Amino acid sequence: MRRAIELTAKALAFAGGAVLVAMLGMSVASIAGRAFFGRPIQGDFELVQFGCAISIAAFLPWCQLSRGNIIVNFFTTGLPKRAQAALDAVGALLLAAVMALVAWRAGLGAESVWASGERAMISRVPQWIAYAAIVPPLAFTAVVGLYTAWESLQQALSPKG
Amino acid sequence: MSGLALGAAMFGGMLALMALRVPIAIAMFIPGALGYLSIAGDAPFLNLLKGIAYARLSNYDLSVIPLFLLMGAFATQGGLSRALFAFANALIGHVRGGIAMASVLACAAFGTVCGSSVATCATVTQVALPEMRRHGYSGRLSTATMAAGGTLGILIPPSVVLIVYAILAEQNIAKLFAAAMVPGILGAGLYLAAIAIYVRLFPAQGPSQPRHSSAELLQAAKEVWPIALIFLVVFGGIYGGFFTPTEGAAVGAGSTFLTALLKGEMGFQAFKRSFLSTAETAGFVFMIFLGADMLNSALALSQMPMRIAEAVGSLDVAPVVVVGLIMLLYLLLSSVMDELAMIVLTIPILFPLVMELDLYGLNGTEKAIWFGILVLSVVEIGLIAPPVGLNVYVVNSLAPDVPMSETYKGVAVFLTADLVRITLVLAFPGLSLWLMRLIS
Repeated sequence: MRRAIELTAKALAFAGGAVLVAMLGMSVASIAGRAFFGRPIQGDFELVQFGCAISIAAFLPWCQLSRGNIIVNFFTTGLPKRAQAALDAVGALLLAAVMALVAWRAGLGAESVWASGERAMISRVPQWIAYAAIVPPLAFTAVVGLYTAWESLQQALSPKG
Repeated sequence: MSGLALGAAMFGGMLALMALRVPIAIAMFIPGALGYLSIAGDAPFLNLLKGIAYARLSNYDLSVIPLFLLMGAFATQGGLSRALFAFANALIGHVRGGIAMASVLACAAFGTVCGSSVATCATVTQVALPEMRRHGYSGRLSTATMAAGGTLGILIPPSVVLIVYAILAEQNIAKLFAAAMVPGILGAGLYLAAIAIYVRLFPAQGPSQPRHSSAELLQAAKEVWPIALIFLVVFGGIYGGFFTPTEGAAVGAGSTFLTALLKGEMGFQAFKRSFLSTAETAGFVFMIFLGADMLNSALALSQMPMRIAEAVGSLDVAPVVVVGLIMLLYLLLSSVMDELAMIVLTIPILFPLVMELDLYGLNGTEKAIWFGILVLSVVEIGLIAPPVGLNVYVVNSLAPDVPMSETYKGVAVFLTADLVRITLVLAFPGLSLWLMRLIS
């Protein structure tokens, strides 16, 4: 279980990293094109926006799995470890619920953008592609939320604490 | 329920959820969602949610964050801190307290390629702290130097905190970076002065060393010039208007990667770790934005921020005092919550308020930029001030033999330097604004 989730989250993070590197390469190429040939890549800003959206969405599952979504622990440091873990389970569960809601609505949003046939102004790339690409990672973040909640719950229930 | 009461309820709910260890982003999202539902009803709420994630994710300025994070991660994983420290140490390591001063300089230089203070603190500490301890520097001085020096990672551009501020306040990132430059250098200079005074009072804590030969200095200089070049190209390009901050970050990340690769420090594992650490931080920053967007949409509907701005505007106190009080509020908040979350949460409420004030007759943009630098300064203090100074924790985990209370005692010296800097920035807006005016 842990293995499958971790592999998927890592794979998504690296895929997001690859998109980031592609954005990086395109920006450098666009600067070079502008400096040496007097013409940048058409619609480079739009492509950066698409790439940024996709890569950051792909980072979210890994962020949650590595407990990167920061919490305030100032008020609860005095509690026993198991009580802290129980609260963490609730927190992760709430995160899962919010991400499920956001993923569901983002899916419907992508559908309506697809139906409208909207395209980016300059690059003419259909907008729905980017809208749709963020939905699976958002949904998977909800899954990771459930998994981290389960992990914390186990910790809360284990006799060792 | 009136708008103001509803706004207060949302705030209270958020604080309660935060205290109960709910992730900060979610602690903002849930009360915001409930508030929005109760004011606007479910159809507008469900409609808003359709685009909320994509609208934020596709913000062009947001793309600066993962790219600068990647640049910092490459610099960290690629061991650039070692070269920077070796050079600074060869330069001034021989004077009394010199290795501590060299550590501050290395942090400042590392801050020019890294926008995170925790990363700066951790990576420079690993090379500089053992060196200080080996030469008989006290645990107090050496750990405090690293905790405080690390904050130069965000004070000196690039700075993730400043980018987040720029996005929230809809200000130009290049101008903010320019405005941060002089206060950042001033901050580093005051840290050096603080060390010099401290070791004069307590000579045993930072003994002097024999001078390094000029051959050693030359050798060390050979290792650092690529980093200086990266800095000049990235910021020269951004300030000179040759490219956007996003493009500058792309150039910076690419060239930092190449530098680390040529040094032979960028193996496949380090490469992978760079991406995972970028993913973790970028994901966290986005989640906070998502939560704050939800909360702020609801707060805007409740009109609470407007009411607060009006109330403060009608107060009979000097505008600079209001700004000073906001800084105090930030200091209090930053002692319990994450600095980035604090900014994302408060700027949409406090920024319009500050813009209403008449401050030294500055125009709108100047006021916004200057306030951003002030906010950055207090965030920086939150990283080293008790009870929860994140950098102190970072250093403590790397130097378990020095008790945290010792570190905090040493940090007091640097906090004094910080207060001097903030007072100067608050009293003389020109300090931060002149470079910005020069380039625009």
